Amino acid sequence: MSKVHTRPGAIWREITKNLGRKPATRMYPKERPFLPANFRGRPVFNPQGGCVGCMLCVRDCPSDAVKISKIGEKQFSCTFNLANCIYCGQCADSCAKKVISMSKEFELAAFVRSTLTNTTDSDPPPPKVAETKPSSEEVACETPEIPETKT
Amino acid sequence: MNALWLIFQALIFPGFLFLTVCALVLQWLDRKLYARFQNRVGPPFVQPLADLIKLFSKESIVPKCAEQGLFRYLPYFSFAAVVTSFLSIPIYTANAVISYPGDLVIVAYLLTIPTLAIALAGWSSCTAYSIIGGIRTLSQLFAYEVPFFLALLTPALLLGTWNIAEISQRLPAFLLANPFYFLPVILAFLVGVISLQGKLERKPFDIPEAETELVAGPFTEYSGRLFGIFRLSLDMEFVVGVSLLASVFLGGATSFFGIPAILSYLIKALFIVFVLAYIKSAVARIRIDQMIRFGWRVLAPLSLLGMLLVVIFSKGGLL
Repeated sequence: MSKVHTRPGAIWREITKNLGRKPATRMYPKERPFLPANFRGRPVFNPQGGCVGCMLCVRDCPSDAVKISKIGEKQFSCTFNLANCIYCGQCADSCAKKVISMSKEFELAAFVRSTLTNTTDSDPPPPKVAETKPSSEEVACETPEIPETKT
Repeated sequence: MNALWLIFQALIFPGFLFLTVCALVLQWLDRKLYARFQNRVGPPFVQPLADLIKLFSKESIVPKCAEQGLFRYLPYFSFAAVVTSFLSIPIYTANAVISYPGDLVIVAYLLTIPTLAIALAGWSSCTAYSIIGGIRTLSQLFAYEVPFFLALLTPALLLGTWNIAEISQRLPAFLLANPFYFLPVILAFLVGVISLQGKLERKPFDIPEAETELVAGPFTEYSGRLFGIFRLSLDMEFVVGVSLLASVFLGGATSFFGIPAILSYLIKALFIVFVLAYIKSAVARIRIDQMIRFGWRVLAPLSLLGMLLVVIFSKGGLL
């Protein structure tokens, strides 16, 4: 069993060393924090991703933070309510087309509630060409590219 | 002219204004050192001033059931006592602004008034936390006050004078001439530093304020300007306590190696602030019963031993 220091002032060696050390405090707004690779920040909807409106994200969201609405032929609009979002990343996980991804943006405090809701419309589908498209299974197996933002 | 000069000294330098600046700077230094010992960054230089301005610009709320008069005037009593006591301590020359035989005792007593004001403030606030805090302040007072007085009186007994300026002028030369007396003086200095820590209610003796159990102890109900005055008076008490120890034990503003008197005072005061901050960061809060036991079983006998050594050395004819 390790020695338990109960004597008052037993920490003196440590505090003396601390005087010469660089403080452990990170000066946050100036010094940016290090974000891990799989950090889950604000969920983003990729307009070019080709959302098919399957509503899996809406069904799986535990806090009703995602809404998908149809705005045209094969064109959908995605609304995230960040006041409800718990940043679990389930929408990004469930999305069959990997249109939704979790960004590294974490400074999301707002003064006005309405600014916490943001809507992105997907681009209109490209005109039909007579080329062979990749099968749907191949698309589903593709790994999504999570954009790496610099910290 | 003489009266004007005295008023200038009392209000500007080295009186009220200088004391206020000193209190804010030393508070910052203390907090900064405390933070660095704990591997933190600590507050920026203007933080104490910003805190004070914030407190002064806010509303003072007086509880309905509190003793209205006492609650309102106690901060000013504490403030006045501390500012008065500072005038008898030599700062920029080897002599103090107001110096008279026996001022050591008067300063020591004036420094007791803030403690009594705090205890009464806690008592008059009429809430459970503040009353417990007030009672603890008084209980603690009896544990550290006797060792503190005895420690201060050791050099006084050694030199046969009760005047702070005279002690600070004569002690260094006396000790160099009679090195045997270093033993009782160092003993008294240690006791003085530890009991000053108790007097200022700093760790490990912050039992009356004990924020984890008593919110803010006697200050729980204080807010706004009244709290600002109390805080400022406590910061000033810190300066006066440090200056008193520097003057009585380390020679205060008596210049050494030809450096100016005020620089000599500042170096010694900063040394004591460093020691106090070191103690504050090295220990955790103890219980009130442990504090009182420590005061009476360790500090008081040690300070008595210091005095006894002085008596044996000087009056017993050993030296």
